[in-house]
Amino acid sequence: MEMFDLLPPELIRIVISAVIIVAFVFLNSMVLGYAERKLAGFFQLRPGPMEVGPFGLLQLMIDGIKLIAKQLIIPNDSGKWLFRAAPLIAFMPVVMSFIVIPFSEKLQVRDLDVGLIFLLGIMALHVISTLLAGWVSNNKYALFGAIRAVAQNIAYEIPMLLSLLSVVFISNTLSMQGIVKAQGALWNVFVQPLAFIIYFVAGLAETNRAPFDLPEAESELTAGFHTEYSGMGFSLFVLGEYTNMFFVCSIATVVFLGGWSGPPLPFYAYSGIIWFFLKVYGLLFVMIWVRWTYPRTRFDQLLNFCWMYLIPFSLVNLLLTAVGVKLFK
Amino acid sequence: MSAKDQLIKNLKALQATVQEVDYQRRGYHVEVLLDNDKVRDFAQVMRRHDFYLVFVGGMHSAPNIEVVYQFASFTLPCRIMGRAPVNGDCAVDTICDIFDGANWHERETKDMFGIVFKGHPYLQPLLLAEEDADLKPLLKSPTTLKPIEKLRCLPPAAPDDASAQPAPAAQPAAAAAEKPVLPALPAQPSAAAETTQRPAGMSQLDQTKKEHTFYLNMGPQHPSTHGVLRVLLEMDGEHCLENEPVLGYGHRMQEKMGESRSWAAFLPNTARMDYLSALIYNHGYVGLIERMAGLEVPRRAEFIRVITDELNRVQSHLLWLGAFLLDLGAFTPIMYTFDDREQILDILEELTGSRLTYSYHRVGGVCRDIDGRFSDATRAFIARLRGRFKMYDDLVTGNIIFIKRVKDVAFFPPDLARRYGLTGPCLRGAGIPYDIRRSEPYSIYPELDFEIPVGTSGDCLDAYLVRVREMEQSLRIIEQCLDLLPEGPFRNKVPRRMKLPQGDCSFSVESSRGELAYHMTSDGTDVPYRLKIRVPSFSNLSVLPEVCRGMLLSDLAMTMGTLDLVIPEIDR
Repeated sequence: MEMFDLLPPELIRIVISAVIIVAFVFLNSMVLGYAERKLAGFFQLRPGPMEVGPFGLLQLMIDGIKLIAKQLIIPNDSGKWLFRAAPLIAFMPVVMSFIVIPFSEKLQVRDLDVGLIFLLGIMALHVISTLLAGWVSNNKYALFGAIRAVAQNIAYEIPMLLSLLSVVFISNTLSMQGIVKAQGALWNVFVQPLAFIIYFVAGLAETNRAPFDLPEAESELTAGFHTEYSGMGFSLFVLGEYTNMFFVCSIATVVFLGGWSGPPLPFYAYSGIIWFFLKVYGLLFVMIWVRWTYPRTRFDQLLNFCWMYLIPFSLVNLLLTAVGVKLFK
Repeated sequence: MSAKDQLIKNLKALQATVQEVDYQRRGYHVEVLLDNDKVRDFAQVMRRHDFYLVFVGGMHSAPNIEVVYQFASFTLPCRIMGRAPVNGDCAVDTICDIFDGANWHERETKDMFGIVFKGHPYLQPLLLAEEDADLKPLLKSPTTLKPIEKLRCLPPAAPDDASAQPAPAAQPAAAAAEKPVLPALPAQPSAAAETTQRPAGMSQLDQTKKEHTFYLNMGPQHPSTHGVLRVLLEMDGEHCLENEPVLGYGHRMQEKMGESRSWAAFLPNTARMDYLSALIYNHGYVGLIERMAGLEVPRRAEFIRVITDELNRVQSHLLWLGAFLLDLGAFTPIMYTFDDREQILDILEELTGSRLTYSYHRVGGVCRDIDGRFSDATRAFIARLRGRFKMYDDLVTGNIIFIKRVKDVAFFPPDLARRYGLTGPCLRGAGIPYDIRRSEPYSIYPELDFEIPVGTSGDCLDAYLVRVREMEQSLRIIEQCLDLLPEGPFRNKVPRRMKLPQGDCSFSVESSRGELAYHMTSDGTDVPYRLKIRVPSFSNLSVLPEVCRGMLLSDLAMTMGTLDLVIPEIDR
C-alpha cells in the first residue's frame, strides 16, 4: 500500500484504466469476431466455427495465435515505416476513444466536458490510417480502397455530426454522462428518430461495413486498402474495425438509447453496465445482420445518397430541433 | 420472294458456289464455297441480312488451308457455312470490321493455323502463349493430311471444288446477271469502327493510352473473374476507359484432342470445357455423332437426355445466381443457391455416378436408365425449388440496392449481339426470343410446352430476370418429360469403332450460356479429321471491351458477372 501512496492517485487510475481498456478491446474483438462468424453461419445455413473448443468458442484465440505467428510481409517499393505504422494508427485512436465512454454511472475513465466532440475528433483520425495503408502499399487496388475510404468517411462524417448535434441541442451538454442523464426515461431515439436512423446509416459507412464496405470491396478491389497486409498488420486493421464498430454503437447507445439507464435488474449494482452492453450488442447484431443480407452499393450511389439525402435531411432535422427547443424550452 | 431466297440470290451474286444442303444430315442449310477475295463481300451480305457470326475456324487439307465461317440468324431458320481457301501467302481478308466478334475468332485461327487475316488490327496470339505464336498446332503433318475431296460430303455429288479455281464456269449465268438487292446496313455505333483500327503493339490498349491514365490488371487471380481470366484495364480514376480480356491461361487444346482420338474417346472431354453445363455439352457431342452417322435414338433416351439437360441448366443458373450476387457484394445468397444446387448434384450423382463432369449421354442413348427413385427425387426437388424461388424473389429482386446496381448500367442490344455473336440469356434480355431449343429444335424439345422468357431493354436486370424465369421453365420441361416418359430401351447398340461417313456436319444446342456449336469434319474413319467447338462464353466475353467502355470498376465486375463466364470453356 505504501508504494501506491507515493504515486499520485490519478496516475494509478490512468494505468489501471489503460490496462482494462486494452484488455477489453481485445476481448471485445474476439467476442465480435466469434459472433460475426457464428451469425454469418446462422444466416447462411451453415454451422460456423465449431471445431476448436465447445461450439468453436476458442476459434478466435487460435486465429489470433496464427496471425501473430505469421510473417509480416512488406512489399518492395512500399514506404517501410509508414507501412508498419498504418495498422497502429488504425488501432490506437479507437482505444483512446474509450476514455469518455460511460459504461455505467460510475464506470468511466474521464467524463470530459467536450466528450462528444472528443469522440468525433478521434473518429476522424481513423481514416488517416486507411489512407496511409492504401497509399504506402504501392498497390493500385489498395490505393483505390484508400481513395474510396477517404471520400466516404469525409462525406459521412457530416450527417453523423449533424444528427448528433440535434441531440446536443436538446440535452444542452456535450458531456457523455450529461447526455445520458438528460434523457431520463424518454430516450432520444423517440424524440429524434430521424437523427437516430441517419446516425446509424452514417455509422455503417464510417466503419466500412456492408452495404458500404467499399474500401475493402473484395469482388472489385480484392481486399481494398489492406490487400498487402499479412499477419498482425492485417489483424490490427480487423481489431480496429471491430473496436470502431463497438465505439460507433456505444455512441448510439449513449446518445440515443439512454446509455446505461434502464429498469433495475436482479444484479442491482451491475444493472447499468448490463443495460449498456445489452444495447450496444443489440446494435452490433443489427450491423452484422445487415452485412450478411444486403449487396454492396456502388461508389457514386454511396456518395449521392449521403449528399442528396442524408445531409439535407439531417440539416432539416437540426433546424426543426432548434425551432422546437426555442419554442418549448 | 422469301428472305431465304433473297439471301441465296445475293450470295450467288458473289461468284460463289451456293448450295442448299440437307439440314437433317449436315446441320446447316446453305453451303457457300467462296473465292479468297470474296470473303469480305460475303460477310457484308451476311451483315446486311442480319445474321450473326457463329464462328470462324480453319481446316488444313490438301491442297490448301480453308477458312470456315458459320453464320446464323436470330429470326430466319437458316444456318450458313462459308468456306474460302487462303491465298499463296496463307492469307485472307479480315471481316472483323464487319463482324466485331470475328476479331477473337480470327486471332484464334491465326494461333492454330497461322492464317494471316489481312487488315486485322491486332493479330497477336489469343489462346497460345506469345512464344508459341509459330506453333500452328492444328496444321496436319504430311502423313495425316488428307485431300479436300476426301473431306466433302458424298451422297449428293459434291460440286467442283470452287476453292481450287476462282470463278467457276458452273456459275449460273442468270443469277449472276441479276442485280442483287441488299437490305440496308443497320446503324452501327461509330466508336466500334474506330477502335478496331488500332495498329499492333504490346497490348491493344497501348495505342490509345492517354497520359493521365494507368493500367490495372484484373486477374488472373481476382475474385470476380471467376477463373483464370485476366482483364487489362486502362483506368482513369475509378473509370475503366478501355479493357482488354487476355485469354489462354487454361488452354488445353481440346480441338486437337478431338482430332487425335476416336469419336468415342473424346466424349469425356466435352464435360471438361463448361463444367457447369457438362450434360448439355455431352448432348451436343452425341447429337453431332448421331447426326453424322444417321443414328436413331430411342425415345426414352431422348426424354432422359432432356430431363438431365434441364436439371443441369437449373444447376448452372443457380450457381450463377449466387456468384452474381457475390460479385455485387451480397455474401449470403450463394449459400442458399448452393444448398439447392447440391440437391440437383445429389440426384444426378445417383444417376450418373459423378457430380460435375458427367459423361452420361452416350451415342445411341444414355449410359443408365432412370428409375422411380430418380423421378420421385426430381419431383420432390421441383416442389422444393418452386418454394425457394419466392424467397429469392423477396430477398433479391425487390432489393433497392440490387436494382440500383444492375438496372440501366450495361446494355446488350440486338445489333451488338449480331456483330459479336452474343447468345444466351443476355441476348434474350434484349427481347429477342432466340433459343436453339426452339429455333433449331433438337431432341424432343418441339413436343414440349415451354416459353422462351425475354426481357425488354437488354440490361443486366433483364438478363437476371430471364435467367430466373428460365429456371422456372426448365422445371416445367422436367415435369412434362417425367409425365410423358415412354417405356422402352434407353440405349441402342452402337459399335465403339464405328466409322463416320466422310463430310462435315454441325450440331448446335442451347447451353446455359448460349449457343454451343460443334462442327466436325470426317475423312471416313473413326477419328474425326477436324472438330471445331464454338463455345458461347468466348463470343459473349468478346463484347466486354465495347459494352464496358468508360464504366466504373464495380460495374465492370457486375457486367462480367452478368455474362456468366466459365473460363475453361473460353480457353478450351
